[in-house]
Amino acid sequence: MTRALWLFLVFSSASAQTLERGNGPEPDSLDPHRAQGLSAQQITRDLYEGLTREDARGAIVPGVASAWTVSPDGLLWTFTLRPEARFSDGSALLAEDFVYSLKRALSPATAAPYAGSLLLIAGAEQRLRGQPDALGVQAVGPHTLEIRLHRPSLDLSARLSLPIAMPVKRSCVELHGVQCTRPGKLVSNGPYQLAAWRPLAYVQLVRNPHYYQVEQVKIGAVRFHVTEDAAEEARRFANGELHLTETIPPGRLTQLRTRFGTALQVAPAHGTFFLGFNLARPPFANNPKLREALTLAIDRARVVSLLTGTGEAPAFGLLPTELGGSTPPVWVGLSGSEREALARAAYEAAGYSRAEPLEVELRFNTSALHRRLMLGIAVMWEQVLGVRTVLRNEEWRVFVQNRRARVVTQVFRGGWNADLADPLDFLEPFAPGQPLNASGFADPAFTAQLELARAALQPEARLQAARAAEQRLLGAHAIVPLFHYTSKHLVSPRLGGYVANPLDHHPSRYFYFRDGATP
Amino acid sequence: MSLLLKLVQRLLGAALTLLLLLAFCLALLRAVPGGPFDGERIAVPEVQAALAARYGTDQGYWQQLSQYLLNAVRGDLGPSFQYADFSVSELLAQALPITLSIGAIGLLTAWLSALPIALLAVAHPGGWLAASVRGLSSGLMSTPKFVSAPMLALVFAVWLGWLPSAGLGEPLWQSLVLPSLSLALTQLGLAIRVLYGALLSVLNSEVIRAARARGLSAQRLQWRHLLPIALPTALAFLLPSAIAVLTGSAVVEQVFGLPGLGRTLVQAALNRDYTMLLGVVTVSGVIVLAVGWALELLLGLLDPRRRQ
Repeated sequence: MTRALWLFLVFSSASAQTLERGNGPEPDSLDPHRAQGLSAQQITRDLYEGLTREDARGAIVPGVASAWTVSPDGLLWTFTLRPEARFSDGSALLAEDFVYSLKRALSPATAAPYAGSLLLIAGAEQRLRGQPDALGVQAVGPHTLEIRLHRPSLDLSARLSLPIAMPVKRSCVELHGVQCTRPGKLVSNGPYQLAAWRPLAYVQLVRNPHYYQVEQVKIGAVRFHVTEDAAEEARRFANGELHLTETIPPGRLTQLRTRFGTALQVAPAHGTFFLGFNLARPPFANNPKLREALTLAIDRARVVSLLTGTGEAPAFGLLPTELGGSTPPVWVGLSGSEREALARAAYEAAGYSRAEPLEVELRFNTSALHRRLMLGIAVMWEQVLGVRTVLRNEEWRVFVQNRRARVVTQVFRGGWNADLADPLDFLEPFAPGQPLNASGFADPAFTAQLELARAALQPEARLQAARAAEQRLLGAHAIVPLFHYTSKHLVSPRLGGYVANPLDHHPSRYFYFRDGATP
Repeated sequence: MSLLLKLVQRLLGAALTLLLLLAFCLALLRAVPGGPFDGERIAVPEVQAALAARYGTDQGYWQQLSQYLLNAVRGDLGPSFQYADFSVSELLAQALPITLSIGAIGLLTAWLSALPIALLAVAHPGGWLAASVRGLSSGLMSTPKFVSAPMLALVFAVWLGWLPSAGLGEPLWQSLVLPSLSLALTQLGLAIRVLYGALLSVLNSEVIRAARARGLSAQRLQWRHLLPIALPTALAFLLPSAIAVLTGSAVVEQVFGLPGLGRTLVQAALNRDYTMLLGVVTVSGVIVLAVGWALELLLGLLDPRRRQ
């Protein structure tokens, strides 16, 4: 595309109604294979489209692939690409482009943070480790792509909607290298294309005229603003500078509800906040009764009503209700005093009492919300059991380094936001050898159930095996689920098309202005 | 000593200062816990090795420092660790004009406003006017930027709707007004205090009494005699704080969402973006040295006694 045409598109589209969105921190990359942060992925979902994509509510629907079939053994997936699919420069998007892109995503030189999401493809792990084995991806025609897996899996279609599996144009990458994501150079295939990028300020997109469903894209231009401070973002929304915020300031739900009414949208999200125990060292190594006592001593209802206060639901397991939910523990139905009595009994069985209390360190990363939460939990432990808790606040990178090392931690803050609407996405991090398994949990029965869930070819069987695996994790009291996250946004009354999405993905293609968008 | 020799000496001294600064910063960065690629998700060892090779984090301290200096001399400040699509030079080229703009506008506004206020107060020393000016100066100096900046945004952006509350918009100048004003308010308090003190210290000097005895008007006395004598002293106190403003106010840039040097520095530290941090330190070091030299030249122009 010539620079003159590109500039014309920028200013002609910017003169139309532009969707102004708060997007959190500066995106780390607009290369879909290198993008890691949520802010970057929100933009790449507008710029690119994979073989599949999410609808407004997060369900998987056909993307560039109009249809696919799966072999009876579940190992061979065959995708039929839309012949009308194009890149933003007008060139055809072919199966060979996906072959190139998937190989690039799994190349060690690319150093893709989410490459692990594609390891179910045959040869993927070997390729990622630098071994020149053939990857199980091939183009059997210009519009037919075959992907071979090394084990059957139900969730390939969901994984192919992730940015890591989105196509990039080979000639653009080879010509421009790291600069292939610049305005005027970036070639994408999604509903939008890149118009401007001012680092630490904003990214501007304009509608891609070559997108195969361009008539469904109502808003001509989108500007993603860097909004690192939630209070600043809310102020900009109040001033009419933003139509949609990325989040809301913590602890101000009532105030925001009063001021903005239905513009404040709070909905359940696929994420769970939990505390983890370091099972590798005292006092929690080989002491399940102690872990049980601390688990029982926390009143989750009070946590979500007094400490978080943004519509979270108490969590007694990892799986959110929208993903099938967890089997609640037997003590959930007990009264508060009964639960606390059980906690004290477990505490004494573990060898502790008010006369000889536990002294424990509770570690968390810097956040006003986390500090409030940990303080509240420490108070509950002290009131119910007499535990003396030392709160240790660490900066994020120091915190994750210590948590992963399992050398100094005792109890630590944990949490998981799902990448996929799949129960296994919550349990895979606890598999042995996983770097996210900060507790060091290892249980052969858990691993066996996890394997059963992975191999299940029916959703119900997958869920049942996942629940069974989760019961092993919760029964060992390796973690203490506290609440399920919510998504929180301020949405301008002018903006239509916003629907709750548990994965908190909101592609701009689904939005429109109620007062009449310029087509 | 000839001027050329002195210049060479100063340049070598500046280069040595920057070198030591960078060496110290790199040593600190490597000692700080938590690496640039420490996150929840950890790549396989082969990918980690590729990242380390790409960014040079697998090198020893002296190798990393020498490589960085060699590249920096050629104008290459390296790739950003955090923002993979940009080089440090590109990001700094975006950030520096923003910081210098709001800093320069803020300083000029503060100093030009402080001058008539200080002159008015010194014309009536000991009276209610001087006391009010001193009170105003104290109030402005003790109001932190993280209070004044949001208040300005609330009044002028949210309540009155005259200006944007944050971010960079069109036209650009509107986005710079409130940040500049926020910086100006603190500097105004300091400038009033310093100017007033400098003027007051000269007020009863022999040269001023002699000028007064010759029957000069108050206006001529202030502008032709009092101010030229007091200005060098005032500048010597004001310019160091001006350097702090010109190298980036992280608070103001954060509140107003501006992509300036201060905010870039804070983000680079949190992200362990080694090259970005070193780049900001380099640029800030150059600004400090350049402004210091400019101060010396300016003082020499204003006060011939300092030219030696």
